[in-house]
Amino acid sequence: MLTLRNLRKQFGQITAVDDLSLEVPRGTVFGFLGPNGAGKTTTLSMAVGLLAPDSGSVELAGLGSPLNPSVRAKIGLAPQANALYDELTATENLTFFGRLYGLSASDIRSRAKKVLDLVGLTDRRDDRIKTYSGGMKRRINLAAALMHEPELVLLDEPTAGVDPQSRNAILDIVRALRDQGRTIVYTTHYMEEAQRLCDQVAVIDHGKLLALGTVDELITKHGGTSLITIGRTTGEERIPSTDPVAVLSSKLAQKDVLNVRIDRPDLEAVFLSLTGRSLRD
Amino acid sequence: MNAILAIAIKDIRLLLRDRMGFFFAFAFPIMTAIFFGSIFGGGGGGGGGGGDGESDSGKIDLLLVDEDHTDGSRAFAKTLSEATELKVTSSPTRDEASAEVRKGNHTAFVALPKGFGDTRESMFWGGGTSIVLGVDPARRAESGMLEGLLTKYGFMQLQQGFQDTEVMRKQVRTSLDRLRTSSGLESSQKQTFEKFFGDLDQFLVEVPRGSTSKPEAATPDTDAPKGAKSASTSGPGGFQPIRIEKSDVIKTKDPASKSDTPQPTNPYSWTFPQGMIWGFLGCSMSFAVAMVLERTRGTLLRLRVAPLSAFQVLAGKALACFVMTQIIAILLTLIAFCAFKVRPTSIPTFAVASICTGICFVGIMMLLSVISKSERAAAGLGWGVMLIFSMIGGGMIPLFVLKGWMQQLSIISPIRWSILALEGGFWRQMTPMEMLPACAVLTTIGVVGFVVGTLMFGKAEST
Repeated sequence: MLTLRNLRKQFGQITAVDDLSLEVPRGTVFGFLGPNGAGKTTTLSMAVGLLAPDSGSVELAGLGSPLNPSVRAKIGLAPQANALYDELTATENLTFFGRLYGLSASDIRSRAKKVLDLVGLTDRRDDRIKTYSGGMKRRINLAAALMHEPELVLLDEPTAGVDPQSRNAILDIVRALRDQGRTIVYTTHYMEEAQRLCDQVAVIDHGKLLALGTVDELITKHGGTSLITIGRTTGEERIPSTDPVAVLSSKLAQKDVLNVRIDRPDLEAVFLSLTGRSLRD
Repeated sequence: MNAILAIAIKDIRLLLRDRMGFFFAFAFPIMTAIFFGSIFGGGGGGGGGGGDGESDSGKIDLLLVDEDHTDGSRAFAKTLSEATELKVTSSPTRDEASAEVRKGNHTAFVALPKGFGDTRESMFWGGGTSIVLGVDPARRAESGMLEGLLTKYGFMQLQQGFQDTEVMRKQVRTSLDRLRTSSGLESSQKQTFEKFFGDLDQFLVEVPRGSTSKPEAATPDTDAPKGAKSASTSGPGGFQPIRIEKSDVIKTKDPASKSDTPQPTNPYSWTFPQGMIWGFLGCSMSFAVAMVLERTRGTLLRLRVAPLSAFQVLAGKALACFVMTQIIAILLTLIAFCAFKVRPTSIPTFAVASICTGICFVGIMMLLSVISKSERAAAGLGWGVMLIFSMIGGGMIPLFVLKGWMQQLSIISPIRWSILALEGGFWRQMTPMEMLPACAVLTTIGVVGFVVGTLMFGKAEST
């Protein structure tokens, strides 16, 4: 769906994106995982044609570069900041963004209703955005990106700074979009989200692509061993293993086992393994 | 076009919901127009267009038309040229002079009509010396002062005549000739005056020449008025050292007409165009700040991701700003008409002026919004620059009060051209050709601002 080839972007002396190549498969949720300042937003900006790369290319579904306005019409972007007009109502915001994409009045009405239902804000459709909570603004920010029914949806840190309830709601929306067949590129520095949501994850740091694959593949390849903790009457036994199932089957035969816990490595461990530092550093 | 309209409608809606923006675009200009209109009510001048007005030494800028071309008219013209209070420029015809004053390029004109010299030579008989004075209606404050000055120099010239017995004898003989050929007087009255003039002539022959030949700069308040007073009672034709006939530089409707056409010199006629300019200013500043807000709050990202060119985005904003300026102009015009009975003397000309001024302010808005990186910068830079333009352009202080070099400098101020264009359409009765320079300057500023703004915007957003 989206192909990035040898992308490079510098801002003065700082290299924001350094020779980054990857392909986002159609109908998947593709995660960009990396700490703040890793180059995720810059990559996204080049992917939607907001920034021209210094070198390399971006191509969308064989249509060409998103620098071309007609190609950009296939893309929906929910920026990191709530890019909405606070003095307008939700309906007015959605109507405006729909008109930018040349939708007819009837299409705008039906799609506004649809996306408002999707993000659960139908009841608040006639309220001005300035009266919304942070989580509601995030959801309407996402809804605005969906008005023209884009094939590719780019979500830049959509859950940053929202409460757990709104975060879960947003993650549900993203899953629903995937179920509708949309391709979603999702940037985050929350490893839990990437782990729960993404079909594929690209780990980025200092503008470089460090690793790419499914969550399981990344963990298997870069996460190291699982830690099996067996509680016995005599105390706890900790066993690192790359094959916890085999270890458990032999250990469970022993009679003094009270409980068992398996700590599987996660994407945090993957990032630690790849960079030598934590995602939250 | 649909996207441009969508952006324009959205921006207008946002402005109308922004209390501060609404205040500066609508309420403030209306208050300004009404406030200054009530202050100037029945009296002094307003902004005074874009003309030279007064020079840096405080002289009143006067156009002089000599239609008589006699020694008498030349002498009076010379007296006026040497007057310390006046800056006199010759003009070939009265119409040209009147047009220049109407356009606000000069404060007033004085025409010395045919026969001026003759009447000066028979001051003791006839209707007295007439001159024609036309004053810019926006300079009423100077009108009275001018009349006083003209009377003063009329007296001074007269006094010089009294101090020269040859000139006096010539005056007496001319008056005697006219008396003899005049009709409408009884023969007894004629004989009385003939005897008086004969005796006066004889008296002037006998007066020692050296005793009166030294001309002194007598003050008109002492000697000259005495002479005027005595002369004025010397015959049935009356005597006035100089009679000032007022000429309207702004054409008024036939007084016989029953129409309630408002007088174009109503002070609200010039305060409302000025109010419009403040409205345009407030409007363009609000849009400049709104544009910066789009950038800082991220909504510009959405506009740029949408299938629009930079031109379309900016055209939408420009259209919104332009439409609002025209709404302001229409609203203020309606208020001026409904509440104060003033209206543009020519709706089409005023519409052209309003459109050109709107285009100018759109260009200014565009430049400010692109240059400014933050809301504060946009508001501060915008108001700062525009207040300076307003100061030197006659938006705050009438131009004629400014020093000469500042008046020259004012040509760089869009406010000057805006005032000239709006007043030209509202009450100065300018013709399309007369409006052309101001409209051309305003449109050029607008187009250049838009083009440069678009280029800078495209460059800034691509890096």
